[in-house]
Amino acid sequence: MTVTRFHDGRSAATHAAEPIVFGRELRVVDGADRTLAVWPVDAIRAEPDLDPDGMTVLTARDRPGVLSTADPALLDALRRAGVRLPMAHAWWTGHRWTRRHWAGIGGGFALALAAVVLALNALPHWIATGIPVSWERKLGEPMVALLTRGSPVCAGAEGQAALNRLVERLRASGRIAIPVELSVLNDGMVNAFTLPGGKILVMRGLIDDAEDGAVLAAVIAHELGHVTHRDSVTMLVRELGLQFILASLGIGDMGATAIGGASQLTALAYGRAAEAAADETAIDVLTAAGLRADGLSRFFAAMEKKRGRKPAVEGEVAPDNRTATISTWLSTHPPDQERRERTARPDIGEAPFSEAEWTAIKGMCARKSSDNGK
Amino acid sequence: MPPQPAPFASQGPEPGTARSGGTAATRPLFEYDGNIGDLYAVFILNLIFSMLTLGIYRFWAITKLRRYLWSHTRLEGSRLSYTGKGGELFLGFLLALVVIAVAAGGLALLAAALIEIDPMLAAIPVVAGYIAMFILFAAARFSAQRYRLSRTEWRGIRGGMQGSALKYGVVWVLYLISTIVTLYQSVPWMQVGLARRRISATRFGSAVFGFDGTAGRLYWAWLGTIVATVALLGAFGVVGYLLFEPVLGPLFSGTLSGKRQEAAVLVALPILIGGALLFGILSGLLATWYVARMLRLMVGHTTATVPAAPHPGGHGAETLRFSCTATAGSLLWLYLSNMLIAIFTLGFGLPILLHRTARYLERTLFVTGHLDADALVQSTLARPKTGEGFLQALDPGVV
Repeated sequence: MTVTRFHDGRSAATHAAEPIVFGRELRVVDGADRTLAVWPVDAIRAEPDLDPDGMTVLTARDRPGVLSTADPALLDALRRAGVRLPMAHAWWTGHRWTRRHWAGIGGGFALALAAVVLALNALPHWIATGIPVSWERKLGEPMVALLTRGSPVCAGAEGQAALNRLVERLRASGRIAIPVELSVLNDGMVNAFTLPGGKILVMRGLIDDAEDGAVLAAVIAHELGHVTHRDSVTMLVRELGLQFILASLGIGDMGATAIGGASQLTALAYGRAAEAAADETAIDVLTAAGLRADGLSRFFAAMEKKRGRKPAVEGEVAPDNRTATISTWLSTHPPDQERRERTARPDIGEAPFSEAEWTAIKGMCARKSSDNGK
Repeated sequence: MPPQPAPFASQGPEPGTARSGGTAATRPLFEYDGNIGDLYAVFILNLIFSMLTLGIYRFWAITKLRRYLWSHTRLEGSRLSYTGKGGELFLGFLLALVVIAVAAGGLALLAAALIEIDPMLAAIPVVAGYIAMFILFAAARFSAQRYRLSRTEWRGIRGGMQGSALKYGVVWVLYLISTIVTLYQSVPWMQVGLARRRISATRFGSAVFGFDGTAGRLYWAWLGTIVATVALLGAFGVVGYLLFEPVLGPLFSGTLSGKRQEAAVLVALPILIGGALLFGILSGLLATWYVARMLRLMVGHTTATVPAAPHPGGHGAETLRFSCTATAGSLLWLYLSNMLIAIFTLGFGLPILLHRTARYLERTLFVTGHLDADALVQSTLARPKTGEGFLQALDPGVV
């Protein structure tokens, strides 16, 4: 076997070379003593790793030709002349890959996957809890402004005062340190949101639909759960963080799609867990404040009944229980039936609002003539 | 330091290397001897560095991966080597970003100025920008291939591409317009015409590549594929329509309740998934049937001619011919299995995908004809200084 090969960079002919280090020069000569090239030692550069056959590949600056050699004496002479050579194969190549290596790689892969799942699930929450509330408020304010542009805030001062009293009472009982600002929006939707910075938006439709004050109080307590768990920032951090990770990986579309899909699934799972946790906090906070805690389950019962009348709309956030077995896995909110059963409480405890307060709350949006009725 | 002559190690010329030179029989075009384990090592290190550097390492990562793949590929017994540098890709990328930003900014300013005169006029730079984008997109592929060839060495000889990338981009857009005007009838002419341009622009050392195929033979295959796909779609439509009443109807009627609805879902779901899968496989088979024919035509009509040997007593010019044995079934299996691996490994299966693809090409590409290594001399084409900028900016791949 030829230990040293030379390609002169002019033709593809392979020369069996016998190079010698002579002073500060490498003289490449062939078997017939013809000089193929003369390289100054200082111009010689070795490829950073050996080629797959274990050959050291040498080139010279500004000179044509490639010299490949596995001749230990030549390599030794070059090394002594000051040419930096790769010691051996890079540590990660040229192994015989045994079952133990593959087990290690498989284990590492599983571990990495577990770390990614953990990171997607837990890390955003840890980061979110580290963000100061004042920053969070700055984040929430423009969002509130955006939402209140379409449907104006209901101004009824007495009702607002009653709601604020309830919020403060629940914050005290739940030891919620984050300041909360609750507004009622003149919108027919039966819904309430929590935005970053302790901003709770209650839609008028929710108040109109509520059987009594206990239902409204329970939904507000649920939103307070989101506030204290810092769920809205967590979601934000998760989305931004994912974009960041995907962008920095740059590992191609298919990988991004797959990771995106997996994260979507964990996001949905997180959403379900967050809703359940907020439900639990709602019950705890209401009970600790000495208020009746049956409102939440009655709210879910009302939702169930409402949906039962008409077939489920495709793509709806909370599906009705008929297709629940399959669609629970693909929705952020657990089905109403399950949540109703889990939050069912006896109707003992103080009413959250007096008759006068409840009337004031119900009338908060009344003065606005833009109300298009329900 | 006194001179220290190194002892002679090699024992004279190796047989079969100097002038005699190998076989003319049909043989695999190349041998690939990489393995998945090593590829994973490269991939994982690349991934870690890419994350640590917020993606900037990507250019060096691609270079590492190519070095591995190239060095494990042997043509006529000699390994390829990739001589590109990550810095060249990075610089090319930055240059492309600057050019794109300046061009986009200029067009936007022009549009803003023209809108003062007439809103209709403002559309001109916008449309021009779109067309330029398409041209750039195709030109980027051409010049990326030029860069890769210029950084590919075999026995000290490098490749290259002759001609203008921009011209290729313009031709690409003209072909695209022709396919739209002819309602996609001219797609084979576009594919073959562009392949001819790319192939006949390709050089490797003094070897000149050529293409002597025509699109006419592909047209009926193309038409057949389209007609069969439409027929397949129709057939599935009819079956879907017939199945809608008994299977899907009850689901949407809202008359079922509780357990019966669940049962209906459990019946409908496998039928829907199975139907989609069957359609995917059948239409995929049709598509790969066409792609396989196209590949065989393109590779089968490619030649590489090494001009007459410059040394005295040499022979005349010699031509190598290539062939491809890809089939619809094997191609579909490659696509499908690669896709499944990519999905189920969340993208971490990339080394497996690369390895499988390399092995597939190794099994299906062949060369015929005698190659005289002495006659193949160095390329005279200039080496581009930076590479793939626009491709890296517009449509980066994994390798």
